[in-house]
Amino acid sequence: MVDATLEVPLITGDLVPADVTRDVCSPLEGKPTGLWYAGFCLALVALAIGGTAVLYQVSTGIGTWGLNRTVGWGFDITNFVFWVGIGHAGTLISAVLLLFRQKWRTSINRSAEAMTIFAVICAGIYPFIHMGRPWLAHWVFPYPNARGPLWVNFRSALLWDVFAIGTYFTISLLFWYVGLIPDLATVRDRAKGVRKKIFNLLSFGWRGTARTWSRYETACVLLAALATPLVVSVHSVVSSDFATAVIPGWHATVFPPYFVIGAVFSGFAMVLTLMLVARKTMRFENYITMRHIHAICKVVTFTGSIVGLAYMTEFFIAWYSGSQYELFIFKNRMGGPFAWAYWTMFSCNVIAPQLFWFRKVRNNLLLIFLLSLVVNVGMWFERFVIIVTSLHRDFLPSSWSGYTPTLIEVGSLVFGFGLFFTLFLLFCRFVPMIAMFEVKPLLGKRKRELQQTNREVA
Amino acid sequence: MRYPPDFRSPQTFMVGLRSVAILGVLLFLLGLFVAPDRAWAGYLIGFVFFVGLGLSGGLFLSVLTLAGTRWATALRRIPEAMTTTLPAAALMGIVLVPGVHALYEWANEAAVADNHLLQHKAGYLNWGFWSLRLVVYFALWIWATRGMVRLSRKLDEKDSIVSKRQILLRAIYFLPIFAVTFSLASIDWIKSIEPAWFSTIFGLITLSGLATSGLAVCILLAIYLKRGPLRHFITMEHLDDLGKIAMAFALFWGYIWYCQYMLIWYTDMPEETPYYVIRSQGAWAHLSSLNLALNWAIPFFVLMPKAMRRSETALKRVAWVFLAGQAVNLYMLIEPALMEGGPQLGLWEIGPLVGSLCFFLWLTLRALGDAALVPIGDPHLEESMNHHC
Repeated sequence: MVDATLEVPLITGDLVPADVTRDVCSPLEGKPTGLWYAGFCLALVALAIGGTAVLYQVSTGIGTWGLNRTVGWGFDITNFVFWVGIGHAGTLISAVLLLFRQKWRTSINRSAEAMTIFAVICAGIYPFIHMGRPWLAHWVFPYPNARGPLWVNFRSALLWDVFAIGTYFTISLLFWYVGLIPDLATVRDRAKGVRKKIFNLLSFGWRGTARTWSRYETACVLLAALATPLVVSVHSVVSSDFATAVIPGWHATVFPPYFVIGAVFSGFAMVLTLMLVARKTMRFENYITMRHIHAICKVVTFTGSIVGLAYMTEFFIAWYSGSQYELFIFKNRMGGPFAWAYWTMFSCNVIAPQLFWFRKVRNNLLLIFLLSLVVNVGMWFERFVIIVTSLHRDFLPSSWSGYTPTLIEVGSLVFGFGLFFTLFLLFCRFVPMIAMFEVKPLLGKRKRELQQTNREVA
Repeated sequence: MRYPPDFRSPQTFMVGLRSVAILGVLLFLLGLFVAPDRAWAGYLIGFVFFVGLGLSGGLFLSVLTLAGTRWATALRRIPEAMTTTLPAAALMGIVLVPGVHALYEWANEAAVADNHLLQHKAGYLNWGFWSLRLVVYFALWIWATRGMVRLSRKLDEKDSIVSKRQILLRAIYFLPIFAVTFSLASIDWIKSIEPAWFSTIFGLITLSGLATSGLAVCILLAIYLKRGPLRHFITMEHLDDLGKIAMAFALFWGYIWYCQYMLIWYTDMPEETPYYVIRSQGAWAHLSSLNLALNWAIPFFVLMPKAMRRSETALKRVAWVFLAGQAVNLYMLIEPALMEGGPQLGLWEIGPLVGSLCFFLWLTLRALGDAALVPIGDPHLEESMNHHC
């Protein structure tokens, strides 16, 4: 027989549904904590510094960046791919894990989806400001126009990005908002005055009848099914920005699945970062338990190992192909002027997550937090390595160059983080962070189970 | 809980499977004298088909254990039995070693002498190292899968003590071993037939075929046992979920196929494009379309309505479509480089393929009788029987 241990419950603290409502709604109804104010101020400062840099760049031109004729993409597209990647965990948790009936998703899906939406907004900023003339941004959309026969290039992977990310943002926003409606109604029921009116409007006058719930659940499953292909398609299209080129280091057939798994990897690391902070500052220890954290750690190790396999596959095939350009690029990545970036990426993405194999590490919250940051750094560097090291050595040695980001570029990086955390902290303050109506059934089940075991024992 | 009766497949069925398997061997041997090149290529298809089915058992076991899946506990003996075919697969692999010269250009010294690409790859692609790797792959696969199966069978014994940690460890060993060795094995056995061509996604191309064909055998055996001794253990709910996985695998197959095709077509580089130039001309083009239809379009769209996933007949047919799809897939991976005058189909191709499938089913059905048909010592068995989607 199996030496089975009793299973750790998903929600601890022996709560009743009223406790859940109180715990989740209290950050919305009370005054925020000092820690929240501190974080919000920090985010606003980052946003202001970054915003100044972006404003200066838009009004002056992209000459303020360190790009040159050989290295045409640098921090801008690195940041873009980084943020798009971050979003993926949210969709995976809310859509794929819903279809897989993984109950541990319920405590974290709401914030992970919010993270997705904010990350996609941050991502969109970079191609937008990279246009140089962002006031002409509407030109990326194909519509009959007065510019003569000038249409967008449907054969360009960059245009596919517009469609892929546009769809992604729309569906994610819909999915997130539809998931919010019953909880907004709960907030409404507790509120008074104008606040009640606002939340009534936001919850579309939700009444919670059996018929509404039945329709509602159908809608959620349908949206989940629509969102699932997006987990794969968006980053596959983003990877095509590189893989459809003939540049060594960019053109690899494995890029689409490899980017998708890398995106899930980085997204889960970000979920880990945010959840650890939220858990501590909002006192959600009963909802985001060690079981949730262990599960996320395992996903990070699993996806990180696949990313490692992809790095090694790329290197092996670079040798196997016998193509001198391919092999040169990979040798140059490991030992050239950007070797420091390559080895940062490798150690952060492949080696660091392996520490989660040890239970002691998985139980040490501070270490988990640090490792999640390390993975975020590693995944940013992955995009940097792919973009910059592949570009800075051109086919003609006379075109070789280097790349040093200017302060303005660093400012644009700061802008992304500032915007992301500002939005996220506002979300923590004004929207129920945990899907109350999804967490409550888990409590009920546990109580029933306990009663049943008690009867059996008696 | 009632235990399922001891399992034995009908004698006539087993004799039939065995006879077809022997017929396949005889055809292969005959082919070695009549048309050795075609016989070796046909044998390679049969061999890879056979290995993939056995390995898929290990992959499913490992993933199910690591994901903590409980609904599938009642089905677990099926992938376990599939992995017991790996020693036979190893023997088939050793038979392949003398065929290396007939199949692979890099094993031909004259060809290597005037091709600098082959000289560059000679450190990896040479007869000795290739054979050594083959032995190492099988040693690792057999070791890793036996660990999982033995532990699972140990659970059946009364008063045996097995910890969850031991079970998890065995499942963890398998995954990285499989990921690395299977990627390399697909290069060794299939990709190196066209030694100048390369593609980083190739390991996933072969993995997707392994997954669809392995799942197809699982579905067929599950329905076979559901109609017989496991009628109280395997329910419609299990079949429904297997059908959903089949849809997911079909989608995965199509996705990976599209990634490789689209990127090679788009960039149109002389190093890569020839691979698809052959496969998109003449009769090969029709086979390419058939490949997509059998592995992606038909299973995916047929299984979309719930009623189809809950129909044994429909599921069985889709499983056969997957198996046919994997045959076409392997044919398209291996033969275009070897058959210069266009696709040919004869006894030399059908013999080893059908023979190896029958051999596989015969071995698996025999292995199913070696232990209880469901893991009776697993505490999650009852939960799996009451699984409801």
